[in-house]
Amino acid sequence: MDRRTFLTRLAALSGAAASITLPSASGQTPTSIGAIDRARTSNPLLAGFDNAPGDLDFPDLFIEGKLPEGLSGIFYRNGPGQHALAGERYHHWFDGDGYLHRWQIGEGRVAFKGRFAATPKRLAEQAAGKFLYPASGGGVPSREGISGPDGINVANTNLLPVKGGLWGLWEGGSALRLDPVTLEASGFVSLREDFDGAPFSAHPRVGEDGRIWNIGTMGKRLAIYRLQSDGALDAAKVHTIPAAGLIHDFLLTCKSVVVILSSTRVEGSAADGLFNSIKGRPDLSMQVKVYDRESLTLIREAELPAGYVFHFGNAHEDDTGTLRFDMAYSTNCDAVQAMRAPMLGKFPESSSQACLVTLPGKGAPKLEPVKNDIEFPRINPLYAARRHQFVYAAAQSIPGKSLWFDAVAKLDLDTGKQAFAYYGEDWLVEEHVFVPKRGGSGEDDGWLLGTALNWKLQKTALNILDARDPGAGPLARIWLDQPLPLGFHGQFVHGA
Amino acid sequence: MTKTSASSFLIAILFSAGAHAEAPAGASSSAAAPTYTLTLTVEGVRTAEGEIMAQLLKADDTTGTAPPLLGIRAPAIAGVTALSFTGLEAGDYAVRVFHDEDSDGEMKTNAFGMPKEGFAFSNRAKARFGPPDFNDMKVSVSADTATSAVMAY
Repeated sequence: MDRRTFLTRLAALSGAAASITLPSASGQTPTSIGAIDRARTSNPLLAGFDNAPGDLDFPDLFIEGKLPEGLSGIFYRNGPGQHALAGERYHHWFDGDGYLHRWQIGEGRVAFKGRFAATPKRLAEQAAGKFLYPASGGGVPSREGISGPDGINVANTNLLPVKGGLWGLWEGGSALRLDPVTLEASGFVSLREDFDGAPFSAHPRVGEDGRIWNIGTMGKRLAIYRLQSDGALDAAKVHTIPAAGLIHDFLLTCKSVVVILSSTRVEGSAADGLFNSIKGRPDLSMQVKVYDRESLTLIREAELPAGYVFHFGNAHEDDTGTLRFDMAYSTNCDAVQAMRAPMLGKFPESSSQACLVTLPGKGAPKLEPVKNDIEFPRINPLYAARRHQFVYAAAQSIPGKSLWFDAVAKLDLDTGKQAFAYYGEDWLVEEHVFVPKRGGSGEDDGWLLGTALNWKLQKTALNILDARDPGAGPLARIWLDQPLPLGFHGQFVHGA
Repeated sequence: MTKTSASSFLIAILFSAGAHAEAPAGASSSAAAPTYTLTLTVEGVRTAEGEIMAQLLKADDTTGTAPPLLGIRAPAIAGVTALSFTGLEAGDYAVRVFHDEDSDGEMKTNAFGMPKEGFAFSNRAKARFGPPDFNDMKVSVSADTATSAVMAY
C-alpha cells in the first residue's frame, strides 16, 4: 500500500471521529477523602456509601421471622462497592467496582456470599494499591490509559441470569461473565466479534417468550440487541440518535422496543469524566423512539414532557398502538449530577415520581402522577411486556421526611391504591424484587425481596415481604452482622 | 493551543459523545528543505503479526490545527518496533500509531467505531475518554529527535 492509500484510509476512519481535548495529567487534582471522612464520623447513615468489606461467606445467617414456604432460589444483587482507595475517593456514586451479593435461600436456611466483580480494571488497581484509570464521574487522576470502555468497566449495576450462567452488567461496556455459584469472573462476554467492547446496558428486558432484549449507547450510537435465553446473540442493529449521554433503561412490549431519551445532551467536555459532559436541557422534550422488536428498525417517534428517567417499570402496547407504561420520572434534568452527592457525604436531593404514561398511537400523551419520592420500580416478571397493574418501588413514606427511602411501596396503577411496608427511620431501604409464587394466582401473588441497611445497628438485612400485603411488614428478615454499601439492582433465580 | 485536526483513528472514541471533528487536511507538501529525523520507539507491541502503522501530524500555527503530514509503516516486532520519519523541518509534531495485526491496512473497529487493534501515541500519551490532546502527544523537533509510544490493546 502506498502512502496515499494509507492516509486515505486513516482519513476515512477519522471521518466519524470526535476530537476530545484532554487536560494534561498535571492538571488533575487527586481527591482527598478527608471531607467525607469528617462527614462520615458524625453521620452513621453514610455507612451506605462506605467501601464494601471484600470477600464475605456466611453459610447460615440469623433469620428473624420465618422463611415463606415455597421460596427457594438465589437472590443476586449488585452495586458500587469500592468508592475510595489509597486516600482518593470517586466523585460519583456510580463509579465504584461492583460488589456482588449471592443470597441462597431454601430449606429453612440462608447463606450469603459477597465478592467484588473481578474486572480487569479492579484486578489492576488492587495490584497497584491505588486507582489507575479515569472514572466516569471524574475526580481521580488517570495514571493509565485505556484502549476502550472495558478498560474501566466496573460491572457494578445489575446482573443478568442467562441459562446456565450469570452476567455482571455495567452500561458503558461488555457484560462480565460470572460463575453463578462462586461469583468468580471469567472475562467479558463476546456477543459477536463486531460488538466486542461495545456498550451493553444494565437493564436487559426478558420478554414473555424468554428472549432477551437490551440496548447499548455511546455518543450518537444506539445499539439494540436481541438474545436467546442462553445469551446467544440473535440480532443487533446500530442506530444514530441525538447524544443524550446516558440511556440507563428502556421498555419492551410484545411488539416493540421503546427507547426514551431524557432531556439531556452531551455538550460539555468529557475531559474529566463522561458525566461532566452531560448537561440537563429542560428546554428539550423527552424523545420516544419505538423500534420493531423483530426487525429492530425504527417504526415510530413521539415526545414526552421534559425530564429525566433512570428507570421504567413495564410497558404494554395494545392493538391500536397505544403504549401504556410506568416510569420513575424526575423533572430535574440534571439527575445524573445529583448522584454525586453521596461521594461528598450528602444524600441526593433529586427525587423521582412514579408516573403512569399513556401514549396513544395518535394524539397527546397523558402523564398521571402516582406517587412522589420513589425509585427502583419493579414488577412481577411474569407480566413483563404485558399489561400490568402493580409496580413495587423503594419509597419515602412521607415525601421529604427522610434522606433516603424508608419504605417499600406497592402501587396499583389501575385503582390508585397504595400500600407501604414502612421500615422505620432507622432504615435505608433499597430495591425490592418481585418473586412470583410457583403456581400462584394473580399478579401480586408472590414475595418482595430486598436489602436494607439499618444505620442505627450498622447492619444490612435481606427482607422478605408478602406482595399481597406489604403493609404487614417483613415475613422474614435475614441479618448480616455488618453493613454493606447501598447498591443498585438485584435478580432472583428460582431453585430447581 | 494547537488542536489535532484529523481527530485520529481512535474513532468514536471510547466515551466521546460524538462531537464533530474537522475533516483531516490532505498531506501538505513542505517547501522548506527537510533537515531532521524523528525516531519513534513503539513499546508493548504484543505480537510480530502485521505491521505498525504510524501517522505524523504537524502543527500549523496559521490555522491552529495539526493535519496529517505523512504515514509510514514497519513490520511489527514483538516488544519494541522502531520507525523513523526523515527529512522533517523544524516544528511541533505528533505521531499516532496502530498495530495492523491483520495487515489489511485499516484499523479494525467494532460496531460503535471503537478500536479493536492496538494503538499508541507519541510522547507516551494515553487515551482516556478519547484520544490525547495534541499537546500531550507533542514532540518539538529542532534537531534529530527521539520519542516513544506505548501500545494499548
